[in-house]
Amino acid sequence: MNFQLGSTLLDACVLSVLSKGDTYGYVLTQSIKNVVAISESTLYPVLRRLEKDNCLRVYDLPFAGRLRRYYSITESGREQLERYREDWQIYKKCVDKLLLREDEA
Amino acid sequence: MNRQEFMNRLREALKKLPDNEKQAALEYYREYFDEAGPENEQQVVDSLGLPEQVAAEIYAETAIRNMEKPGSAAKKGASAVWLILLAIFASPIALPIAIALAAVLLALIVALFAIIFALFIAAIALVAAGIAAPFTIGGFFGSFAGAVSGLGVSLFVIGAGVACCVFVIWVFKSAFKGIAKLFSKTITGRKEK
Repeated sequence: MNFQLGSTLLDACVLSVLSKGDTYGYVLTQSIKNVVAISESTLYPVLRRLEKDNCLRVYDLPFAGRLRRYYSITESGREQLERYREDWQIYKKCVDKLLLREDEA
Repeated sequence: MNRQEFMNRLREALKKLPDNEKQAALEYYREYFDEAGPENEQQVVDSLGLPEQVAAEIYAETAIRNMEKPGSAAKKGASAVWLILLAIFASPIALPIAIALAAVLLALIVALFAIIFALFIAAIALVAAGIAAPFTIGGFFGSFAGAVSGLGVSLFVIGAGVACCVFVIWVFKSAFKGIAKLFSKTITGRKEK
């Protein structure tokens, strides 16, 4: 694969995964990694950024004698995700036009 | 590299980050290893890449966020530049650049002290010339007026030479103090905040 997820697309994808339910770092990484190639270290800065932007919040739950940090999408995170989805539709059409020459078909 | 080595190197690479940021990052990776389980430990270490690289990404993210925060523009700019420098220094590929920078800095300091030393020698030469003058110019003039004016000139030159010596020693001292201050600031200054 020649294409890589940029930081904005990563933000959008993380928010989209979290919109289906709270989860923790390892599962989140694996679920994105199963679809597109990302390194295991990619998501930490993304999660930290989204947390600081109030798009998600964290809470800890005990698990097997330690704490597991869960990430949960906030209301403003959901709004942001909607904006990302709309922008993506437009962007996707533009790239398709250039790359696949769909306007000539 | 195993989990323990990875975490130690990451902690070392992150030590210039504010404490809460550092703890959060270390906590995240500790949990990540726990979740992956001991049987996947090696696979996780291999996939994470070099700890210094992981640290560089965290520094870069912190630098960008600092720029977006409200506050004094100059201070923010300085701290962002600082964090970017740290990110560069933390990444392993930049080590040769860091060594080159250190060498250039050292060369500049050596050059500065060489110039000061040259000025000092010149000042001493001036004093010596003043002392030697009566034995050459004044001595050969023969006349009383000539001897007196020769003596006057040589006294003036001695005075100027001594003044130059004092000035050069002062410049040397303050340059040394300035450089020492700069170094201690670079090494410890960040922690005082």
